[in-house]
Amino acid sequence: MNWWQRLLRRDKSEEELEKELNFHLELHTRDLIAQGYTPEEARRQARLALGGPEQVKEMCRDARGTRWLFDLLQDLRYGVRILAKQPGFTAVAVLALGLGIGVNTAMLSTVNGFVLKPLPVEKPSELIEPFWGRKIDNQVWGLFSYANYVDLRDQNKTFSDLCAWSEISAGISSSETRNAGDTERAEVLWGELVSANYFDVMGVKPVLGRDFTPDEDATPNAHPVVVLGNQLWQRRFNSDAAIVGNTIYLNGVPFTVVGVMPESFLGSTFYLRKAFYVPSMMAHTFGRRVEWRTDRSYATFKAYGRLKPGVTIAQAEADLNLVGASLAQLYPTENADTKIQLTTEADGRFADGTRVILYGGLLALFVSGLVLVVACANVANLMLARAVTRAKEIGIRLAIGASRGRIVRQLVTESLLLSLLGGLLGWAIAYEGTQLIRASFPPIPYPAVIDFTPDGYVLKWMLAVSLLTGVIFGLAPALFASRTDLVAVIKGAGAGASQRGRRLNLRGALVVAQVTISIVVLICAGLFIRSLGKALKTDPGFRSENLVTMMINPGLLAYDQPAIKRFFHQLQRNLEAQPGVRSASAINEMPLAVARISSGPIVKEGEIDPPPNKGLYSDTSIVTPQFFDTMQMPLVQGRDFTERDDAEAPRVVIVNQEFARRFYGTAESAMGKRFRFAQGTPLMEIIGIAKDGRYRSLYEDQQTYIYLPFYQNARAGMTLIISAQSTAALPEVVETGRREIAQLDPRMPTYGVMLGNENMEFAYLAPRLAAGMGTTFGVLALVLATIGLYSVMMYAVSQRTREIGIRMALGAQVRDMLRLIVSQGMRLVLIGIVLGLAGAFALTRALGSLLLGVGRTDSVTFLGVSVLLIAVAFVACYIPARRAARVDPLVALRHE
Amino acid sequence: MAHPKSDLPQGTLDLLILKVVALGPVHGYAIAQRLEQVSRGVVQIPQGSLYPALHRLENRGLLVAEWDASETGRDAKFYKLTRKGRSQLETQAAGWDRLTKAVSLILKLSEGGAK
Repeated sequence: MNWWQRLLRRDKSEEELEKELNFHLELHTRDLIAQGYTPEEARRQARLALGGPEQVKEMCRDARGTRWLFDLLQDLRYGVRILAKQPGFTAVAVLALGLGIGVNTAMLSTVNGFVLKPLPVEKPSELIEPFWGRKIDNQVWGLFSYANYVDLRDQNKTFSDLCAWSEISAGISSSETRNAGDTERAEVLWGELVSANYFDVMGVKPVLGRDFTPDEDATPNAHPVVVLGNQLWQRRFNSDAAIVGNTIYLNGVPFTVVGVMPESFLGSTFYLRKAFYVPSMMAHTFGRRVEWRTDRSYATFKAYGRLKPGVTIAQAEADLNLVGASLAQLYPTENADTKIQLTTEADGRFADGTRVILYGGLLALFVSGLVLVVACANVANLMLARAVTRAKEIGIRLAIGASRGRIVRQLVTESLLLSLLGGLLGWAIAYEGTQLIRASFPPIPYPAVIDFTPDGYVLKWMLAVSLLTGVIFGLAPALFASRTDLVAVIKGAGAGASQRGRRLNLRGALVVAQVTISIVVLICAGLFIRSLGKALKTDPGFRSENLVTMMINPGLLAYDQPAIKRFFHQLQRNLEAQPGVRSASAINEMPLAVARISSGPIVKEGEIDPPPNKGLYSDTSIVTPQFFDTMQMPLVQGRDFTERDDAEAPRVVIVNQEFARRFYGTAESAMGKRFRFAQGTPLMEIIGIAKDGRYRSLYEDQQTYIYLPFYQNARAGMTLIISAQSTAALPEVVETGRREIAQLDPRMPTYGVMLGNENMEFAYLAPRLAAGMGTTFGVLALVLATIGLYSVMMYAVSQRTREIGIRMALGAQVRDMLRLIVSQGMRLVLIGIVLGLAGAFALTRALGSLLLGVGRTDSVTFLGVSVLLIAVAFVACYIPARRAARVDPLVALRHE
Repeated sequence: MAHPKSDLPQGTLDLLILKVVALGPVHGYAIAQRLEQVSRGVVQIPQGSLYPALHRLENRGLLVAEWDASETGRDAKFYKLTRKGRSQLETQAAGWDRLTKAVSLILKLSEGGAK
């Protein structure tokens, strides 16, 4: 029988036990009567011989191994009764725990949703990701050229299979061209070029149709076939089961749909949802250079693989590097100094950008963990206070023979009950909280996978945390209570003063701990709020309120360079003629947006290239003429680019003030100077100096920046920027933009449209989240600590009623009493504040750059938080003190 | 009963119960009576420890129990030996045999040594 079967059959086995013993007693009585005993005496003798029936039953339960279950049920029933009898205590405790567990679960869900969730593939922890790089680099995160990938795949001895994939985007339509009257929405999709073995390596099967045959990935451009992502299939094709065999147009090229992937599968990356998959041989259709298959320096592919059974990552890495070394010998120009590094896919995630998110997440988890500690201290405090009122009950139970272990078990069961109720509430809070966090995210112009809903992993952790907290805050008070001095307790509450003193000290220590942690959390919150304030006040160097931005990419439609230039030239001209439009231009990556591009090393005219891994880089944008006017980003020196700065004209460049300062001393001396990027790119003359701005984040130290002219460096993927005459005109200008683009090419999709200050949302995201969470945690910690202090003070007053009565009778004034009680509480608070400030000082030192641009020992925050806490704590002490002062000496003395 | 009663050595109660039950399905009271008769009042078996022992053996799968009509006409819980119980009885009985032989051998030796 399982224990749960026993549980269900408990009544039956109890009944049988009873019946069995009764039968025994009956027969024995009968025999004794036959021996001449009177019926009464016979019954007595039979009972004596058997021993107390209840004890025998208990021993039988023990023997059957159902005893603990029996006890547990009893404890639970008793616990529920006790908790129901004190709804106030129960509510406060469950609320405190629920909040503590809730914020932690929400935080964990968020971090989990960002970076921890495994890919929905077969055995995700065994998916191995190789990176290609050079020996001189510590860590390599590089991509593979297709030719190198093929050699590695075919020559390694340690992988059971190795696949390749590459992120692409494409415009989708259901016909080759769209007419002006066509209502079909033009849209840009993210997808992947994949090798034929890709789906086998990932271990996912299509829900409809099939995946690719090796044949389909053997000859360039021969097999235009596509597998659709589930969401695209649902959204655009209404989950049409007959989709397989139909034709869709990607970048104007017809593709045959051969399959649909399951809903859970989102592609190779954990952050971006992919809408379609095509064989890698179709690369040219998606803007890859014609020589993509043969040029070993053209690295655009990532790889995933599975190891053969028994092979370790280190062995596989050594094996791939052997192949890499031979490739380096065969093709020294492209492959010299090859180094290949292997990680699991999960570890490979923390390459660069996501590491900040991970650290930020860990910090948030740490702070929310502190809140949970405060909540636990609070409940422990309540439990201790209650243990005093229950001392009599426990004393009696000990006196009539309950073992200490049994009492402790009983009390811990109660606290586990509390913590599970708290966990339940916490789950609800976390669920709502994660929706709130999700909703606070700005629109991101990519199909980002941001699912913060708590999953099984989070649930498991939350349960563990709930149980752990239950044991932590339950065990100490339970051990304490069970050590009760029996005689003292039963004689009356007045006795046992030493016990009470100790208990009060423990409770005092808990209050000090709560105040300490609250200070730390509040200071974190304060610093984050200050940092948000600083962000909102920071001048990004451009005016966003009248801007409309939208992304377009003629490269998706296979425009060549001259066509791209013509397109943007015409578009800019047409837009500027429209009503409501002040000015229009384009840039490849907006400042303070998601992506950024860095160029270098920078070599001044007359200097030689720096050695490898040396030299300075600078973030760079490619902009069309009028960019500085559209962005209202003034040029402090020189002139703007014009359309005459094209491929035939001398190379020109505009830099920011910081660049001029750093490389040439002043803006004046930088004008007219020439520099180049290493490895033989042509010299560029500085024709203008732009005002400094913010480029990567609002907190950065002043960065250098380079603007390159579009007509000398044309890119296909550009963000169109339109400056409206007024903020009111923004929606109208969006329509104007779309219309003018469609006028030039009706197939051209626009995406990532942002209005006005939405362009700043991404820059504000981190400080907003930090300030929002910091404030939530800070307020929670403050409230919990205040409740803790208040309850301790109330308890102290109630315990000292008699003493206060005597003092009052001897002539103490109300003011004396107030001072007595308040100073007792404030002493604890001050100790806590001093400890907390020291802790916060140490913590903020460790945080460093995560504090987003606020000084580590920001005195305003430290001082402000201390004052806030003292004020709140004073109120929490003053109310109990008022009560003490109102004690009527007569009543107090009669109290005993 | 003139002679003093000995306490049952640890662990032997289980062996005795298995032996009694091995003779055929039997209920708790009958086992108690049988044990008392067989040991002729020499060994003290508190009836109170009989039932916990029965339940323990049942729980370990050495005995199975069935409710059946008894000689009084009322349903009683009859215990029966399982195959596992029978092999357990055999090993334990053999072990007991060895032990008693060894003990009596030692007792005789020590008498010889005193000569």
